[in-house]
Amino acid sequence: MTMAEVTMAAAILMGASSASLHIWSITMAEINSAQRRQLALNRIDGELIVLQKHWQQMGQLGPLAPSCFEASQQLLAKLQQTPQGSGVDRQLTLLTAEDGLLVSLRDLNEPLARREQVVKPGALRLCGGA
Amino acid sequence: MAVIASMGLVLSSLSLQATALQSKLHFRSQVQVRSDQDQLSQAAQRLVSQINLLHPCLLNLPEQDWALQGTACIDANQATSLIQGGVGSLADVRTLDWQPDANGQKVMLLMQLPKAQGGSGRRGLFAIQLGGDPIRAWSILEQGLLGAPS
Repeated sequence: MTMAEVTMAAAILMGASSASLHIWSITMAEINSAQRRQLALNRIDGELIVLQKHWQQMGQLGPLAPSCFEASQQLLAKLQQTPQGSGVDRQLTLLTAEDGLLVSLRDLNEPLARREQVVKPGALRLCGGA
Repeated sequence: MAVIASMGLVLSSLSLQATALQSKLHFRSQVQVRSDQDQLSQAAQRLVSQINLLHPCLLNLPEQDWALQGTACIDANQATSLIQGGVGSLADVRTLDWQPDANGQKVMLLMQLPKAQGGSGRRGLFAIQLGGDPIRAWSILEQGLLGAPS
């Protein structure tokens, strides 16, 4: 093997190692952020399950008020009392065009990890004199 | 030899990167699934609320009989609107099935998102608990998400 061949082989190997290292570092960063994103989804799901349990339990207890608007207000007050998980932005708001609540959950670090559900007191026997 | 070793290095890195890209796509599909779940759940809440408050005679009636019921608490047109969605707050989510059990204590509800305009056509199955006097729905639990039928 001549000196020129050795130099060429070393250059090829160096180039490939450097490219490979670059790809590895990008990939490892991507794997780390994938783990963070998955944790964010799990956190939001967990927060939603806690709130869902609360409103399901309330349905079991019976009507809060004859008026669905009033029941929505009471439901809002009760859900606001439930502890909030860290790292999650939780917005509980009264719907404007209809009776009910909008439950919006968003992870503070991962904007795509979000849930948005509607709770209608009429669907849970919380109003309407039922 | 150096070329083979170099190719091995680059190929192994690229295969690792493909795995990372796959996890990114998986995340996006999980986000979409949750968004579909939320839309179906919102539609289920609105449908059950309408039935509880305005058309309670439907609670223990299979969906295929809704339009036939006629006089009790809903007319045929209203029943069709409830099933087809697309009216007001039900926003195009179709009611595919509403099946009360034999004891009149539970209903299985199947709803579907629209397939047109880029919709996923996913279906959501919900268990609805009935009870009280007069009988009303008091709980809606999601049982699972199903893909669009082929």
